[in-house]
Amino acid sequence: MLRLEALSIGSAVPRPAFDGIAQSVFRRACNIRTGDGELLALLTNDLADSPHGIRVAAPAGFDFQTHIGAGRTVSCRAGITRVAGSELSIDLSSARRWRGDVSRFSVDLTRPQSARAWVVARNELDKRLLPNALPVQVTRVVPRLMEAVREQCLHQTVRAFAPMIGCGEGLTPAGDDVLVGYLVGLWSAVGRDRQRLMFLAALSGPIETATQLTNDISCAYLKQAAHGFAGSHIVALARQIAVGAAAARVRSATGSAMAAGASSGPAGVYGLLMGMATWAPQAGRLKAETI
Amino acid sequence: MTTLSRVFPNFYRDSVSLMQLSAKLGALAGVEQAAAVMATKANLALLAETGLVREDTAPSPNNLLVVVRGADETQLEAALAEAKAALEARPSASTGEALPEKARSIEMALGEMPDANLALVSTPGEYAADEARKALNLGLHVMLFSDNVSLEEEISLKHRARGRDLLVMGPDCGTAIINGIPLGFANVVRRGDIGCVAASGTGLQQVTCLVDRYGAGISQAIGTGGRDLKAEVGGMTMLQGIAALTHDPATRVIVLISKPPAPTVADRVLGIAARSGKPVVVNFLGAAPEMVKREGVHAARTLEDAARLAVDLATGKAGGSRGRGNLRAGSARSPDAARLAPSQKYIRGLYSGGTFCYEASFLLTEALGTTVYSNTPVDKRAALPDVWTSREHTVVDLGDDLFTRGRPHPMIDHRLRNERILAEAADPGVAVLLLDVVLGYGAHPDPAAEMEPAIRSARDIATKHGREILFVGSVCGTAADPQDLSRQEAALRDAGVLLANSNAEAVRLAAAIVGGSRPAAQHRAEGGSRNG
Repeated sequence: MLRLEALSIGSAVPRPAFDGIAQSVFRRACNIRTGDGELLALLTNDLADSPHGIRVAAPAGFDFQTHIGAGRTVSCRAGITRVAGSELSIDLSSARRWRGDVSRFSVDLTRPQSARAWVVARNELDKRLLPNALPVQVTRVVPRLMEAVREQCLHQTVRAFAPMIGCGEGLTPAGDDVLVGYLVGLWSAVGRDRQRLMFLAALSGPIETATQLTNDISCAYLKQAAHGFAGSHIVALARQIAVGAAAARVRSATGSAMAAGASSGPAGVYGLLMGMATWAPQAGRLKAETI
Repeated sequence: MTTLSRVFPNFYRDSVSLMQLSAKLGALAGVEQAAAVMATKANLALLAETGLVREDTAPSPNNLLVVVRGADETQLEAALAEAKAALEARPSASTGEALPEKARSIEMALGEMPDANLALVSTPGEYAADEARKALNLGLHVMLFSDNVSLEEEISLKHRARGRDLLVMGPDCGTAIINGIPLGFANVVRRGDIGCVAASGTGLQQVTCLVDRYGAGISQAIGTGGRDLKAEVGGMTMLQGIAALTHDPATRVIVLISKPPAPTVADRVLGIAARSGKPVVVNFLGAAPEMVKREGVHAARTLEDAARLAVDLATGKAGGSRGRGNLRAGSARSPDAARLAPSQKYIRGLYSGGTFCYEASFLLTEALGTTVYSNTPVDKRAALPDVWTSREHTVVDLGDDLFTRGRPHPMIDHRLRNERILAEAADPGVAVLLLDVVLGYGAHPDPAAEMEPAIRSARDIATKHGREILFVGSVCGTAADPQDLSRQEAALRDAGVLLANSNAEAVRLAAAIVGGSRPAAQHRAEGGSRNG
């Protein structure tokens, strides 16, 4: 019997009970498709918090693949998650609830401190981004997407992001990762502007519809991002930019956010920064002017 | 041209595995193009643009699609079979079928191998100390590969180990050779009578490889971790290492390698070394020889000098051990310099080995008599303000945490250095690019092949602007390493790299090219002086 303790539970994880099937199993993560079609993720504690994730205190060398086979039944009752045919169980009872909501940050890039922090993050991204890390099919549509969002034209926005969905290498295609970051960036900078809030609320519908064009794992992240929820590394970076933190802190937060996955981290950071800049006046010249 | 594909339904592998698979398939014989992507509508559209799939292929976003294109269908079939094998490499783990029980703890591993006397701990730092403690309690020596172990934990572990007459090599100990077995990033060297204790991973690799190259061998190579010679730790592992080698009948000469230790620690280490009764060669990188002088203790200025002195002492053939360099290092301004434009004045060292970078930093500062900027400078005033941008003479340790966050170490993944090579080549002030190539277990299986395209592209960039850029480097490895030293050296020479036998020799050549060399005799006198 191996009982692990959950450290944190994302806000999208249903409590206290759920039933599901292990959809895919990796060394440090296990995705569970619940009965209502949503995806949850069991994560080892060295990974970031995620809105649909349950982070567990895993012992050294722990490997989900040793304990859970794809297709196995997973159920949670009274705060204990069990896997059929496995000695592994996870106790959720003392885990804290984690809520990666960025809409409270009100990033305002007209504030010099936040603008400087944004530029530091952008420079860090530029320096560390490997050539061809982001497919040109994705990056070339981003300006069009920003323009459509700025004009709050839902039709043009949907047309702009459609080619990004499911586009690129990786388990979560880079286009999805950029879009996740972008949506989070928009939500982080929406502030109290009622028009923009209404626009983003309206945009979540087409985003959810479009997620059928990509795989289930990407879909889970996109659905959360459409409502302004993201993983803890991206949330931390958004917070540093919102408060106009010192350059070293911003660099460190950017590095941590970029370190997620193979290309997901850099793609998410790129999207986040573009999302934040969308609402800023003269966003296109932000970098040059602030430097 | 034929295209073959295979769909893996509801099949998920992490992004790194998918990208590695694409790259691996693309490099197979007969494969001109390859892709391993999730079969989303967007990805199918991209593949259709390049003709890899038909335009009417139906998307299935949860399926993994592997596509290969080439002339020979048999080779493509083989490539798909290889893809399948790679993807299904852990079938029992992914299907949930019964697995033979794997050791999941040190106790279980010890149950399977009761004679084991060493545990290698490589876990995230927060768990590493606990695992090391468990191993010590079970009577095992520990090689602690993990970093991010606090100084307090290191001190506590080393006290505990010393009390049990056990060694803790580490934390952040990347290299050791124990009883002829390479551990971590280490090379396949012949066994012999020279024992090493080192607080520097690549320093230990360089010395053990050069000893091998000079025809001698290694009894034991003990790593201590980079902080062992700090005042707080007091050199506990190095002192235990010296004691172990002193009592080891197979060890005739002892070599100690470190950056300059805290003065109190240096005194203690050198005192114990002098009383060992065996000749001890000490390379405290960049330290003045007078700091090291003791009866029976021989100061070596460079890693190369340490290896040479050790072999001389072990064989009793003074001066006979040094491999004949294939370069003109140490001469006055090198004839290679004639190939440079007047604007080309600067050396840029792009290192994967931290100790090599440090050695280059102090040797170049000495030879050029000017500031050599670095992210790991000998003198803090020479700290590079922006590690991503070189200025004047610069040497960069690309294995530094700043560069490796979220990426493999540059000994494994050459992309970052290759990008930097291209960036430096575009700088009209650059005359020489100075490189290290590290072979052995843990390192990239074919580094020369990884670097060669970047070197050629860099040369093209310079040529387009009417310049020629010179590449100088050294390969740290042995003939028995998995990568094959002679094959790697031949490939690099073929790409136009001027190869030295050691990092120090490469640095001296680079300095000579830009006109900063001092006479070779002076280097030899400083580096090879025997103080005992």
